[in-house]
Amino acid sequence: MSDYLWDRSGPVDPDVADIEARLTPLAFDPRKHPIAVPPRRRTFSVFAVGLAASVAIIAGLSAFHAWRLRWDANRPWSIQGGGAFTIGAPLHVDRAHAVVNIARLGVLNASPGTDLSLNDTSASRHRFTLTRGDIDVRVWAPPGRVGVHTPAGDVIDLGCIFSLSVGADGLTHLSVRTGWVELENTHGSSAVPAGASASMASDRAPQVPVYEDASDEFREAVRTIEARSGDATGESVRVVTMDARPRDAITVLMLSNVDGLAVDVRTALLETVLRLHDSPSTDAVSRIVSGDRDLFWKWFDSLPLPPLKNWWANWRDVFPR
Amino acid sequence: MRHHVSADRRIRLLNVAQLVQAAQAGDRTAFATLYERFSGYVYAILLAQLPHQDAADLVQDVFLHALEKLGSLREPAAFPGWIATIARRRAVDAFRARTGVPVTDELGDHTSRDASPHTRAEAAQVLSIIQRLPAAYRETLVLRLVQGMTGPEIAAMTGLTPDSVRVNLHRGFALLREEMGAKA
Repeated sequence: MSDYLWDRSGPVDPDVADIEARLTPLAFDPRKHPIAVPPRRRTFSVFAVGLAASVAIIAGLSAFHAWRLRWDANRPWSIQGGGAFTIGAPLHVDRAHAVVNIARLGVLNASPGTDLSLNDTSASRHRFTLTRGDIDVRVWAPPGRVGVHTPAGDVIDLGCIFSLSVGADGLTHLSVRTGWVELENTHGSSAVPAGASASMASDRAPQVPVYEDASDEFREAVRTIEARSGDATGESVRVVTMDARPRDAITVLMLSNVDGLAVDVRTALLETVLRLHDSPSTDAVSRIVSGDRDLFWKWFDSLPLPPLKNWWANWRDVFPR
Repeated sequence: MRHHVSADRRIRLLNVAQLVQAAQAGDRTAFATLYERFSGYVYAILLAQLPHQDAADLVQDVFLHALEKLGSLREPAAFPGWIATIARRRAVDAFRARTGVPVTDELGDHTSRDASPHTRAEAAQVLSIIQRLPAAYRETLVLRLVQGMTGPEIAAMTGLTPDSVRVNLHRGFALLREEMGAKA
C-alpha cells in the first residue's frame, strides 16, 4: 500500500487522488453545519425554587402555629362583633348567638340561654365553665389544651369539633364531629370519637360512646345496660350482641368495662367484640374477664379507630365549616 | 504578565474526557466542541450506509440524542465508541425506514455548492460502490477518502489498532478499485 493512502505522505497515488477528488462534494464540514445546542434545562433552578418555596411555606406554617399557641396568662378572649370574655366576668348569652374566640386556637358558638365563665387561660391551658346551655366548639390544638368544666364533670378537647349541652339538671351531653373528646369526672372517664355521642352526670361515670348512626334499639340497650349494670336484662344484652356492627366494637368493648356487670354479661359482650374484630390473644375474653387490664387496652388500641394523638391530622378544623 | 485565555479557547484545549465531563456538567460550549471534533466521524458512519443528504441531516440528530443521554455515560473517555454506537443504530433505523427508496441519485443541498451536477453524480456513484463493500471497510474508507483523515487519525478516532486500519484501508481500497474497474 502506498504511504499516500495511509497518511498522505510520499508521492501522490493517482488512483487514490482521483477517488478523493470524486468524493470531495460529499465531505462534511461541521463549520457549515453548526449544531443548534438547545439551552440548558433549568432543572436545578426549578428544584431550588421549589425547595426554597417549600422551606418558606414550612417556616411560615411553623411561625403561624407558634403564634396561634402563644397567649398571655389571663388575657381576655374576644367576642366576635365586640366585647371580651374575661376571667371573673361570666357571660350570659341572652337572645342572639355569641361567637367567642378561644384565644387563637378556635371558636365557640354559644346559643341563647347559655351561661359561660372563663376560669383559666394561658399559652398552655385554657379552661372555661359551661353552667347551662348549648355550645358548638371548634378547636385545633394539641390534646388537653382546651377544656370545659360542666356541673357533671370535665370535657377535655383532644383536637376536634364538638357540640356540648348542659341541661337544667346539670346533665352534660356531648356529640363529637371530628377528632376525639374525653369526658371525665370523679367516677371515671370516657373517650368519645368523631361521629359518636355520650352523656355525663355528676353521680356516675360518663357514658360509653355510641355512634350516632347506630339504631335506636341498640342505643337504648347500651344505655339500659349502663344504667342497670348489676341487673342488666337479657333482652338488652341480646340486642347489643345481635345488633352490634363492626364500628360499634368500641361501644361494646367499653360497655364490657362498666363496673358491676355480671360475669356472663361481660363475657357475652367481649365475645361480641371478638366476633367483630380479632383479639390480641386467643384467650382474650377469659383473661379480660379475669381482670387482665393490659390486654383490655391492647384490644382497644387494636380497634380501627382514629388515633388519639395526631390532632394535627385534623388540620381542616382550623377553618370554619 | 498574566495571559488572558478565553473560556472558549480553554475549552478547546481540553481532551475528550474533560470535554465530556464539562458537557455533562452543562457546559454547552464543551458539547459544541465535541460536535466539531466528532461530527465528521459520525457523518462517516452514517454515510457508509445512507444517502449523503440523509447522513448529513442525521448528524445533528445523533448529537442531540447524545446530549440527552450524556449523563448516562459513566466513562467520559469512552465517548468516541459511545457516540459511534448511537450513530450506527441511527443509521440502521434510517436505512430500514428507507427501504425501497433509491439512494444513488440523492445529492441534495448538502453537497458542495461548487459541485457541478456531473461531479455530484460521480460522487454518488463512487459512494454507492463503497456502500456495497463489506461493512469492515466502509467506515474506514469514508473517513479516509471523504473526510480526508489519515490512517493514524482514523485509528485514534475509532479505537482500532493502526494495523487494523491499515488492513481495512488496503483491502477496502483494492476492492473499491476493482469494483470501479468492473463498473467502468
